[in-house]
Amino acid sequence: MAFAETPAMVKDYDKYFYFHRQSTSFVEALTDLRECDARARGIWQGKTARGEAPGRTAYGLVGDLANALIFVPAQDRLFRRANLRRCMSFKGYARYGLPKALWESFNLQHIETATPERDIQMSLARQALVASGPQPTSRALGL
Amino acid sequence: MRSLALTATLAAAVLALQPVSAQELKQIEISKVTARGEFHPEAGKAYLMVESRNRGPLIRFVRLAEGTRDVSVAFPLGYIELPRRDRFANAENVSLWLVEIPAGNYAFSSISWQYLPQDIDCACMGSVHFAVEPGKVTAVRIESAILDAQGQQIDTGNRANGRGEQDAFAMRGIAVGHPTSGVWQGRVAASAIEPARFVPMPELPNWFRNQINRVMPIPAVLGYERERMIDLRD
Repeated sequence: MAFAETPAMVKDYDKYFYFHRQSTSFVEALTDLRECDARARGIWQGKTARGEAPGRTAYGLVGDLANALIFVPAQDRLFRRANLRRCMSFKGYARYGLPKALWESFNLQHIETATPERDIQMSLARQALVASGPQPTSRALGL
Repeated sequence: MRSLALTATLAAAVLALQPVSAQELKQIEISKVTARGEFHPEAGKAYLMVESRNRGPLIRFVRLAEGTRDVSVAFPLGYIELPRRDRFANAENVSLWLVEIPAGNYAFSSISWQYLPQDIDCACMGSVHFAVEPGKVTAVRIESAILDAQGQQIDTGNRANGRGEQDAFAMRGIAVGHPTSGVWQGRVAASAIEPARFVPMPELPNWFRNQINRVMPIPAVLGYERERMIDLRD
């Protein structure tokens, strides 16, 4: 995880980061990541709970389409990251920044409904390896 | 022709986006209490009084079936939403709501300041429930504050820590407890006030697909060991 930090990278640490917790096994980290990922993806809900439709806009069909295809997915990605951060912080994991390219080497940038579950689980396993690996030498970012 | 094809493509895409139905949690009707002079509850009617230092927060409670303890047996009967602009009383930075609601068992569900998706916090990873009984005014305090990177609470309602209310990555702490301001004094009969008896609730379904969060530790009620809720009641 060694890299030379630049100010531009630091600005992106809200999006590109990894988790780590001391004295944590791979299995523990994977279990935690799976739970938080499920919560972050909005599937940790009651049996009767279902998702909500993308909202209608005041801009007609094109507005609705842009909302459904662009803004809602972007919002979903934002939610996913924010929820993942909250959930993992509750579980005692610290967060460390990464440059985008390094982050993309073991994370999925976009998780859509069409993303194969196998790919998501592989990514979580790689994240768990890092989360349970050697103690990072960089500073923890906090919440 | 080209525009027709584009329109057809757009229409097809819209049709392909099958809307997922909203879940069936129904809003329960409540009525705001108005009173000339000191308010005394009517026999047989149940009341909830909520104090908050947030500006016009949107606060929801979910009514639970009797016997609900955690998510494995949670069965919601509906939800109530405070009329955020229709307060019973206010003084300086404190707002007070007083509403008549069906007697029952209620869990704190969510709070929002700006009513934006990224601003609505669900107490999904730790909440409380409490009974609202007839003939009483059950009193609670619900407010949220932005936390700094170390998890320390900034003054409630304060935005000035580099994290705005609309920042999706802002971490907010939800404080739940009993009223501390005394704004209700002289407006509600002291003999009617019943501080809510909070019961820790480790898990709450994310019924409204909000940002996940949890209530902060409550002395003598609940704490946390990492994500695990600890019951601190005697």
